[in-house]
Amino acid sequence: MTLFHPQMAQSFRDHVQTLFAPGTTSFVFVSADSLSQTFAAYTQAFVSGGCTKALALVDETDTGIVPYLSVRANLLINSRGQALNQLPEALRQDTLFLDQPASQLTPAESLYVQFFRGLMGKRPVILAKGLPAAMVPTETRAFLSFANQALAGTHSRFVILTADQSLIDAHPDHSFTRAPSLAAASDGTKKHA
Amino acid sequence: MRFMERVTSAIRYRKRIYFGELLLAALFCLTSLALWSLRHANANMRQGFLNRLEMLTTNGQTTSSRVVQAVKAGYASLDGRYVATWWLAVAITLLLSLGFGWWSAHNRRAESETYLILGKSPFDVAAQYVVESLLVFVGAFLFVGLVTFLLSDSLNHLLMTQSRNALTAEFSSTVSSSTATQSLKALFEHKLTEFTGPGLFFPGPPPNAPQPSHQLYGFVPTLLTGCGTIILGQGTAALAELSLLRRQLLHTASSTDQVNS
Repeated sequence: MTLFHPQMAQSFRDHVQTLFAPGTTSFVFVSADSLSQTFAAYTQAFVSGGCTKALALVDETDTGIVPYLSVRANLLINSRGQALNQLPEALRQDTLFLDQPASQLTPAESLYVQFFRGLMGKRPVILAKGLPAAMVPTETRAFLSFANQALAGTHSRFVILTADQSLIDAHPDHSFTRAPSLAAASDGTKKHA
Repeated sequence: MRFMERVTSAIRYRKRIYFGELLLAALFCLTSLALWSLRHANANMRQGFLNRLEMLTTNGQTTSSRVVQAVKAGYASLDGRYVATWWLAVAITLLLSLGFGWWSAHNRRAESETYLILGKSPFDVAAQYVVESLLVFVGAFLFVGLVTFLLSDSLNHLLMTQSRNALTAEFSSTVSSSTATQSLKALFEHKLTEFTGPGLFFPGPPPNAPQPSHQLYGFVPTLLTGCGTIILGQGTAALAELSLLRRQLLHTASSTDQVNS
């Protein structure tokens, strides 16, 4: 069904691209209760906008990591070998981590794998359903600066839905205190969905 | 190559299931090889029988005695039965393959969803699952091939005996032994042959002569039909299940949206 709406896909994409700047991390505040709901609604907006391939998902519970593959193979599921060059030096050198099977990753490691998989797959939008609760603030800060470094200069943007007010306060320039509607520019999609 | 890496890791990860498939595949290979070898032995003996019959009836003697007809019919009906059994085995394998393909794609739902969400087409994912099974089948085939090659003498002897017994049973149901003896007597009257009475019906080398080298037959058809059933059965099933899964993914996404809006 998505094939027949290139125009709609384009307008949806333009709308999302103006909302979130490329090469940056944006934070969207959502209350803890509606986190799953908003995450699903955003995902759906991409589906009905015909842009499923523009989206990468980062989710602590539904990781989408194939357990029998190595971390490296998981990162490369949808990209070529050269894509590894996009990894930050520190991660690329960590062959011990890259070669370990992905069946027993900690929530933080899983977050790294999901984020970099989206980045290496050149997905314009990497959408995270919060950050793992198990991560302490220093870990979160380390991850965010790592992610920002990797994002800089790419066409991808990292959008984090979070119920953590401190993250919003820490990044006032890239934060939304209320979840913006992605589907605003494409109201006509409903009848096709 | 990423694709082959995924295939081999998946096989290693799902060892137990694929071991079961390996056993079933080996069973199919054995059945198919045995049936093809039986057919081959059957055809050989039939040809030998016709040759010897010709030797006996050079001077225009009639070959239409009831016994001779019964032997001919016995060979033909046995051959038909082997072919039918083989097709039955192929059909069962195809059904199992369909079932396994469906179950497997369903059982690996989480993994299938991951691949689909990451943007792989159902065809890509199904191809991976099918190639996994194909590798397992080829493994089973090579294993069976090797084992039967090592044991070919005794296996072949077993099959020959089975073939003769089946043949005896086949025409002893149509002809009584006394008619057979009478008919043999008539055929062998005033003849000097290098074989005895029963040797006419079941030709083979004389007991003390060196036995011809034995081997099993039907390797190529076994490999081809085995791969064919897997590609057709599992491929179709996995593709259907995955397309369904993809539709469900898109559909659940839209229904949550409708709830929200």
